[in-house]
Amino acid sequence: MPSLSLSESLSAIVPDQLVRNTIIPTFWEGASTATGSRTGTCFVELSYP
Amino acid sequence: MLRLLAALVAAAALASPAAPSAATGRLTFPRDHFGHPQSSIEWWYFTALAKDASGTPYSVFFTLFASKGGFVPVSQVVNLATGAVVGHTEEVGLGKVGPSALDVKAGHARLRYTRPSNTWSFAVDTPAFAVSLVQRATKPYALHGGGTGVIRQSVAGPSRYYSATRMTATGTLRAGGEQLALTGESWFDHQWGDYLDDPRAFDWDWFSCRFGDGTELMLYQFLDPARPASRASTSRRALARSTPPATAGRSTGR
Repeated sequence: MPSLSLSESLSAIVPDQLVRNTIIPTFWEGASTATGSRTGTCFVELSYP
Repeated sequence: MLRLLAALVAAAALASPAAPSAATGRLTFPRDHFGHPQSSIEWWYFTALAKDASGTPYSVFFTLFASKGGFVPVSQVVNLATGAVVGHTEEVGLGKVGPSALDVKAGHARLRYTRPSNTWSFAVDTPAFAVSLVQRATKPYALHGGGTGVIRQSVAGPSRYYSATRMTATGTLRAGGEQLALTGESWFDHQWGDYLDDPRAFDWDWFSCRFGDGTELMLYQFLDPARPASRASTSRRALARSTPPATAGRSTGR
């Protein structure tokens, strides 16, 4: 994000963080480490095909 | 996401037709912490990183979806040292969240907001697995959409949306006959609107980050595989410092 002078790389802390559902769709809810302009932790939520 | 829609529509079939919900108007608290049953869909969404007394880290996820008379609470805890899923729950319940309080019990899950202390509590208690967190925002709530509390939910229309980007979290975890105390930090999203019937409103990449310098970032883009030529991405940042959070957004087509 150039407007924030922010460049980040995220890495999932563990490889499998799918939330495997049966009523609603399965999706990814992944705790991740962030490195780059700033360091921290992120959750990455991805709808799953 | 079609199954999500089907499940919630099925729950909604038990309810009376909903009146249109207001898409504009300033958010007010605590009123808007509570339910907006006139909206076709609403959720309260928590993600936390917590450690037990030995320092073992866990991700803790809890959400309550609500739609016209139906609830779907979902939870999951992952041991971030081993990668093991400690527990996962997904249930269906009936009921509504009214406009004056939030205290929902659905299946083995409970979510409540306590007004005097401004705390959010969720608990899941099953014979095999239990988790609970009590959370309190350490910063003002961030209103997305440039401080309006309104974003566009893809092409499906407006969505009311705010977050607590950094909350203290304390609680317990029980699994395998062992009970552990948890402490950590969490992020909370509350979102509602009338976009239940458009699957494009439920297909996204979403990021919520807490950085070590005390700032936070929320970034998302909606995906529309049926219309790649008009697929839209929207990013928004909610950078909250020790002062009240500033929000800004940008939209780009691609």
